Amino acid sequence: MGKGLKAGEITYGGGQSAAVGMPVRKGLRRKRQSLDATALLLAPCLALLLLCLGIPLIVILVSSFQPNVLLERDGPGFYNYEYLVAQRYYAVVLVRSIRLALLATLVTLPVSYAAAMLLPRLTGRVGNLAIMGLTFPILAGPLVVILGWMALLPGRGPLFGPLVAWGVIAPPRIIGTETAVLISLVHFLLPFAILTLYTTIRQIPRELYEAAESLGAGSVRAFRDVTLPLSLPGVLSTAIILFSLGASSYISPHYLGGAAELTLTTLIAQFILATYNSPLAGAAAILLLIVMLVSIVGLILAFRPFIRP
Amino acid sequence: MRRLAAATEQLYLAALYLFIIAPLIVVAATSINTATSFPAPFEGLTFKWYRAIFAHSEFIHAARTSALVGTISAALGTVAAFLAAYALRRRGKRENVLLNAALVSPILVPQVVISLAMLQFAALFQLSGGLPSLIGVHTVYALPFALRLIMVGLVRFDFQS
Repeated sequence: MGKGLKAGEITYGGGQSAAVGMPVRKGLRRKRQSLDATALLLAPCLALLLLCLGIPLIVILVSSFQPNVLLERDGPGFYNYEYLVAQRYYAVVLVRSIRLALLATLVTLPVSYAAAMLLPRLTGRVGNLAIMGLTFPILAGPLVVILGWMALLPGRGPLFGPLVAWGVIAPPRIIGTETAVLISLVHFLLPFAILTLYTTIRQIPRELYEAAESLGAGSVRAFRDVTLPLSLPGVLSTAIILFSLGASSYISPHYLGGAAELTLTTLIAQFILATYNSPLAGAAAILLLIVMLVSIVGLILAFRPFIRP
Repeated sequence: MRRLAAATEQLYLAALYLFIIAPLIVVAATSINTATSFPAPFEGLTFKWYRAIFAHSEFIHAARTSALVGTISAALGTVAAFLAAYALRRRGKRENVLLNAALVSPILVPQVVISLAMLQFAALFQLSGGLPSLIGVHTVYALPFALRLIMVGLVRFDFQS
């Protein structure tokens, strides 16, 4: 490895301080002005975040401490949370949410990593088409894709139908199980994973491979000592995005898991739509947020020993 | 040996893309299938479903709402994200962790949670009509994606001049 080459330098390119080579006082005044301008430029973004995310979240946080119709209690308290945590049923739902998101992340990461390594070898029109093809499911939207899975996955559908007709297998029951949710989750996550890992891997300088090769490293060795360590920060951020998207997905568990395989997201929707119990829905939502944050911190800590400073 | 490796690579990518595209193909096939139930095997080619849906006034109305929400929130989100990305890039390398966390936070908040929060927020202040909150939520959800892409685009921009 070249000296002074850090993973950080590859991920955050460009950008130079505005004050370089300027007299100190002039630089300071300019700096203050630029801070004001920065605040002004950030204002629309932050205002949107506050109005459409921050304040509404505070509203549900407050409402999650309100008494709900199921429990005969007065005044604010933690009983919505106590109720959710005490019921075995909800614990199962919570564990299932985490398990599905984690499994989907673990399956998607290696599959998309391999694809992200192979994609740069496709050149010209095929390469462009390959990258564009990845955005098709995102453009079509998860609802359309789920419709596709609902047609593909039945025991006698186009996927298993021929095998069933030839008597190779009995018609499998996949819709309404965790397997169906997992398949569609992996499918949903793949394009995001491939696109982010593709940029990560492309950012590794070509010279490093040439250096590795001239020093006698085979392709396996070059992968182990160059590609993998330099892409790990990107893999970590991809894993975080995948886990978040997986844990927060609603459409897959709703249409393919149904009432039998509730996850936290579908449970929240049920609290709102079926029973209109908004304090309980709020508590479940806050619980989901906490679970996700804890899991993400766990992911970061698990990856940390492998990422070189 | 090399040829075999190349063939395996191409086979891998082909299988992956088939997996990615398959549900979309099935949906497209379903839309021109004469069968009246779903899911059903392919029986024959027809465009009657398209004619039927365009004759449906509810569909036209819903499509208009979708287009409205999509275009307005995309425009708002792109402008806000561009301004923020410009500000962040101009400041150079020094990254503000808190600011970064705030800007990517919509990805981490499940859509169900954002929607529930917005619903309760709107109910609390008795905001009538769901369109503004619908647009607001979609704008916020699009922000981190727009910000990321625009920041990548600004990498080679020279802020000195």
